Amino acid sequence: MSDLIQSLLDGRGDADALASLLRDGTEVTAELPTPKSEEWRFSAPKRLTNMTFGAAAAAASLSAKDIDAIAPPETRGARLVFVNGQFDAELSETSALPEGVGAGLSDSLDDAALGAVKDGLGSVASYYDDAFMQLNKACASQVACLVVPRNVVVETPVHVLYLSHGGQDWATHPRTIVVAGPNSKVQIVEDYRGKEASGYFNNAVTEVIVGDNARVDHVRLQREGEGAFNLLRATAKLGRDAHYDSVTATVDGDWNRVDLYAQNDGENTFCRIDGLAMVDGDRLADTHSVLDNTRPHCDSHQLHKCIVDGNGRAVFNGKIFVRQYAQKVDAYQLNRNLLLSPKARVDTKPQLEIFADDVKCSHGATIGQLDNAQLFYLQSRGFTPAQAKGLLTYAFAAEVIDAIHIPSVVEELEQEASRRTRTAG
Amino acid sequence: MSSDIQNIIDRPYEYGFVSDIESEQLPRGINEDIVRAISALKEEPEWMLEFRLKAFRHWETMTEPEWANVTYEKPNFQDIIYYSAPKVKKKKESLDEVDPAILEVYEKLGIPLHEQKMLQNVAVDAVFDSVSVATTFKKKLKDAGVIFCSFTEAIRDYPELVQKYLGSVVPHTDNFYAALNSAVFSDGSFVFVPKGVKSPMELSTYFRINTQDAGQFERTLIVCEEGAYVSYLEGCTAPQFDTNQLHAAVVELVALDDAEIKYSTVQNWYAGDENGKGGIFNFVTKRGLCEGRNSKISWTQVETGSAVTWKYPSCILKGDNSIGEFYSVALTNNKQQADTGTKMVHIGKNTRSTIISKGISAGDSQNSYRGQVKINRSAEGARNYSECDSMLIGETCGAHTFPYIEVNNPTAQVEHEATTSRIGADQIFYFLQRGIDEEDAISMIINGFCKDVFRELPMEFAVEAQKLLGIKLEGSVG
Repeated sequence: MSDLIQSLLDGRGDADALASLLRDGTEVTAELPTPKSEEWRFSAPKRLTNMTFGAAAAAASLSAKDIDAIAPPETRGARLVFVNGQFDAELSETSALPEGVGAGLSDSLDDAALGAVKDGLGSVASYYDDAFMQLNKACASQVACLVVPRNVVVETPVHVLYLSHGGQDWATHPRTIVVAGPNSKVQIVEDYRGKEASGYFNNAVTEVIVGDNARVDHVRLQREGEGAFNLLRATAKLGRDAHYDSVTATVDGDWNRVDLYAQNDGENTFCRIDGLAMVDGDRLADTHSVLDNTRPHCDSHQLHKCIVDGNGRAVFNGKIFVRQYAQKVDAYQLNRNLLLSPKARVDTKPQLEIFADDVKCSHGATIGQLDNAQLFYLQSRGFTPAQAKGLLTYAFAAEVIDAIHIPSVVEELEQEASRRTRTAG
Repeated sequence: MSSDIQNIIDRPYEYGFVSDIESEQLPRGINEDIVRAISALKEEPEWMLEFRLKAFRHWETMTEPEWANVTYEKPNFQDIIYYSAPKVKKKKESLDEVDPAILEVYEKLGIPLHEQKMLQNVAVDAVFDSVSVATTFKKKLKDAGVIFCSFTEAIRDYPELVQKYLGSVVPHTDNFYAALNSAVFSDGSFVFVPKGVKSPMELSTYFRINTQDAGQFERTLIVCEEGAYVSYLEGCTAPQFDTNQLHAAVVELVALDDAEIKYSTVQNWYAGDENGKGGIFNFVTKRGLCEGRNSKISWTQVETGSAVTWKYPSCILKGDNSIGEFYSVALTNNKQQADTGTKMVHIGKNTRSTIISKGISAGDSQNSYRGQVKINRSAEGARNYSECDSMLIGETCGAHTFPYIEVNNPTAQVEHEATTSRIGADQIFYFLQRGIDEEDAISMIINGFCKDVFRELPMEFAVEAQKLLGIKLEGSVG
């Protein structure tokens, strides 16, 4: 067994009721990925697999004010806060949630909600079965649950915050499950954020089960701290007529990888898995996605953009599957990359696998730099070269950011984009 | 789908006859003795035997690649006949001396050499199983300074040229099948166009696998010196056998400063019957090196045959301002599987590449495009445009796209586009109400879909390719 796996198993905490279900019978049998495995070729896996991590640091004392400072104000009254992997009931709030909505750990759920969680847990994420998935199952100590019953509309966006605070070289295994019942509606902000912590590793798995005719809007934010590793397995399963709208933004952290898996499991669904990665320094932002259309009349959309500066590296591998007899599927995939520095690097592979003939599928990838004619035009209108560059880069990012429905998150990401481009100038 | 139309799709393979020509063959299997025997039979010099043995020893350490999106029963490499030559009675000076039975085969294929000699301005180097039988138009080419001969002759007559370029683009260590080919290749074509010469005619080779259980391992090497130009055509067929036959060829192109090589293939190997029995395994390594400044290599291929195709004609754009092009139509029907595409490796400054790939899948077939565009750090101002379109005909076929794009230089501009479509009932309806019958309508739609590629083919090949697609596909939409 490798040092990394051993260190993670040694450092795991005690499991609560749901996490014990995951741990039961789980063994870490898979090998760690190497650059030779096709799915990890460009992900520099050695940066992660050569490390070892200890047990998570104890949570420092934080006040509600600290959380207010970083959480979107729209989510007040609907927050699940985890600090260094441990649920913090003091900092979490559920007052804005309608009656019947289950939010928190398993002990705060009623029987119906607990049943839904138990049915769903592992049912979607089982698509992945590698060492990191097994480690998540074997090491997760708590499971964050959000259960929205049938016909319930949650107006307040729910903020699920995984805050990494203090210490270094430790690991956690966040595990989240969202079950949206039929005809329900909910917005989620899933947030991985580092503060005064470094060199840590979050090995996260999220499952979203979107019931028939339900709507889930989902924003994932990877804003980890210095030298941090974040591996996020974000999975979703859509029922008939379901609508799943998600945007993933990767901003900080040292080594980020998102594995997105969305399965259109009912007819007439809509699924969006857009993404934005902004990397500089020696950072890596990797997105591997799988959009599996198993039923007819499904509609899917993926726009993934990367802005790469410094020595940064962006990787994209998007797979779209259209299964046999899944006719009338409309799948759209576009990956656009902007290289801002001579040492920036992009590896992209938009991949289509189609087994049905009456479908509309298109994919595309572009890699380029800012257009000199556009830069010149803006300068002729009085912008400085740096401003012109900033404006164009910001506009490049805005197309993805605009799909987010929570104003403060939009604003924050826009600021992040312009902060970046100011330095790029 | 109407039954008439089904009949047309199911039309049997037209070229599936076996010609009964006495052939001289080595025992089945491969070992060092076989490699030595091939070399000895061909009366090769010492260095050639060394090249083969080095390749063979390396091949023994390799395992078959499995990453391609195809499934097939792996060939038993000890059950293949590696050398099978029509018995040579004596050296031939002209076509008249060629065995009439062989000429008859070509007649059936529709490329009568006599006629070609008279009517068409094409020199043909016909490779029958593994040995080159006749090379026409040699003299006219010789006057122009172009060397066009079989590989065996090239080893004998131009050893220094062969030694210089053989394995320079596809080394024997490159991949499993390239190593195998380097060890056992029996013949092939050699083209050398000296400095400043434009080849006065299009060169052409016709390959045919005749012996059951024989493998065809031919080797093509084309070198264009500074400012030279050549256009080379290659066509392939094989008779119908129940067992799978292996075809593992290697093609190497070298273009020096300002040189241009245009390489066109129409591949119509036997694809197996409708249940996937028999057919050729086509595992080919083709690569061109744009060594010099402003050089250009262009691949055009029409792939309609083979049970399994595994082929990636590539360009290494080393010289500054060099250009690589890849135009492909790949058609699969019944149980055929094709995993084909290209690699464009940009090394020099301002290098450009274009990839146009059209995949058509029908029946139960699987058609994959796999391509790589790699922009190295040194490739300042590189430009790539890729377009790969798929057309699906029927509910049980599959189309797949695996484009790898790796960019290490920010001045690069890379675009990749792909679409998937089908022949719509409304399109057919439109043709019908204009008085054009369904067969013609489909033929026109397919030809329109493939137009960008056919345009790149030399005239006579374009006509052949259009007909071929017509035969294979007409009416597969209902």
